[in-house]
Amino acid sequence: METKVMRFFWTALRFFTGGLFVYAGVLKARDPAAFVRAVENYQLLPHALALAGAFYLPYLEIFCGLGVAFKRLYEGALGLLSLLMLVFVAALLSAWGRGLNIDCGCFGGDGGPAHYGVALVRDAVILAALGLLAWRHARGK
Amino acid sequence: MARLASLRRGVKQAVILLVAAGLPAVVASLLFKGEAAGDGEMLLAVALRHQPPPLWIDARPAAEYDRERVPGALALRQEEWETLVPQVLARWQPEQTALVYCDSAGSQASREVAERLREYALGPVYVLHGGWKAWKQK
Repeated sequence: METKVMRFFWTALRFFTGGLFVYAGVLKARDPAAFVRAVENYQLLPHALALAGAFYLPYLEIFCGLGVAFKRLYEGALGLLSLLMLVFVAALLSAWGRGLNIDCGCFGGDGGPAHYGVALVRDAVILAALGLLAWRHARGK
Repeated sequence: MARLASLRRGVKQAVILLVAAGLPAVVASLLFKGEAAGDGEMLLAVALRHQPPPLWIDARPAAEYDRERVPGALALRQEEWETLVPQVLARWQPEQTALVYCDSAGSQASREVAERLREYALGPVYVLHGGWKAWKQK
C-alpha cells in the first residue's frame, strides 16, 4: 500500500521527467537551424540526416514527454525516451573522446561549449528516472 | 507471457509515437524559412524551394569551382573581387536572393564574400548552411 507521499512522488517524477523532454523539444523546435548546427557539430551524421533529425527529434521528444507525463502510450514513450537518452550519451561520449569543444545541443543549440561531465551526469539522472518509472509500471502501478 | 505482451504493446505504442512525431516535423520543415536561421545562413532545403531561385555564388578556390559547382553558380573570391564581381552584378536581379557557399560550415570565405556583397544592397544575401559539402550530400 503506497502512502500519499509516495504517490505524490511518483506523479511528480512522471511530470518532471516528461516535462523536461517537452521543454527540451519545444526549445529545439523553436529554432531548427540552431539545432541543425548543434547536431552537425558532433560530426557524426551527413548534412541531410542531421537536417531531417533536427526537424523530427524535437517533436518526438515532445510527444514522448507528453506520453510519460500523462501516461498515454506510456510503455512506448518510456522505451523511446530511454533509447534516445542512450543515443545522446553515446554521442556525448564520442564528442568528448574526439576532444570536440561544442554545444551539446541538449536544449536546442547555441548554448556554448558543453561541459561533458555535467551533461553526462544529467543524462544519467534522467535515464535513472525513466528506469524507475518503467520499473514501477512493470509492477502494475 | 505477460512480459511478452507488454513488450509487444510497448513496440506498438513506440511505432505510433514515431509516426505521430513525423507529421508536425514535415509541416515544420515545409513552413520553415531559412531566414529565421539567424547569423545570415540559409538551409539547403529552403534554398532549393526558394522562389525565385537564388543567385548562387561560389566562394571556393578557382580550381574547385572549375572542377564542379552548383549549376549556374558564379565564382566570386575576395582575392579576385574586381575581376569577378562585374559578372555577378550583371546577373543579380533587384531583390533576388544571393546565396554564397564555400567548402564547409567552418570556412570563413563565404561569410566574407556575403558581407561584401551586402554592401551593394541589391537583395538579401545568405550563406549556405553546410556549404558545398551540404550540396554534395543532398
